[in-house]
Amino acid sequence: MTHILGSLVKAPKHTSYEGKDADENILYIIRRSVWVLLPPLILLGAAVFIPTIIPLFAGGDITQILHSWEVAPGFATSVVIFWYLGCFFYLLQTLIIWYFNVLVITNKKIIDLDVRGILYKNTSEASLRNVEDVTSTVTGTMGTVFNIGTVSFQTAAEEREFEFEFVDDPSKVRDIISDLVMEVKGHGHNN
Amino acid sequence: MGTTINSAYNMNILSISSLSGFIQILILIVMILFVIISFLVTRQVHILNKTLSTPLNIFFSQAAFIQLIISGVVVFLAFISV
Repeated sequence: MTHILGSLVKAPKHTSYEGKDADENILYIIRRSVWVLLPPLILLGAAVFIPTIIPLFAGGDITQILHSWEVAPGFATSVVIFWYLGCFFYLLQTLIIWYFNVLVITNKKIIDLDVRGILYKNTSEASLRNVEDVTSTVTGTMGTVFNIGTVSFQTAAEEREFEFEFVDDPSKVRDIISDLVMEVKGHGHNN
Repeated sequence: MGTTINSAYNMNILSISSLSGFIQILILIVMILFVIISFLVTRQVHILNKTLSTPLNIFFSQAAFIQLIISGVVVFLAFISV
């Protein structure tokens, strides 16, 4: 899938990252599978319908219920709008975390952008020359059904492992990274 | 004079200590926290847009900004209606 919202975007147009060199080209952007959005979207769907479901059991409009608690009418309306704002916030956060959690592969290096919630952002990068031992793993029922798994690799320069989870077709991603590493190292030997 | 102040004070205490008043104040505090979090989201999107620049970045910026404005308006309306 090479669409901008796809899990594996090849040669994305008008895309850059902080610290990109002039002679550096982004070859791939790898995101988590769109299937990871399914559980939050189901939860969101349920949350959106709560203000319409409550009257079925309580026997009255949600604003009427709040009025019966002697809450001011304007305040009751604000609470209902606020509920939908909360749903929108949850949707936006889910999309932000999914969209910006990426593995950027350039012709020089691999950048792992890790976003968790509002207050956490971690960026790691490794030169393609230093990448070693690329591994792909598919585990679990959902992983096997949808072919979603983890791609991990180690770097020679530092004793650390890069890990990217919930990737669509992890074997293909592993192959892409391995080929690029071999190509870069091959050129290195020729030079 | 003293009686008037005392009765007004008692009325305030009664209204604040009542369940509906307590719930309204609690919800208002949550709403104000939500506005602060919405502001943090706009900053988060701004930083992420700098980290990874893509054609869809403008969508996230606008969505976060609209959320901040609407949540601010809702909190204001809730505040004046309490």
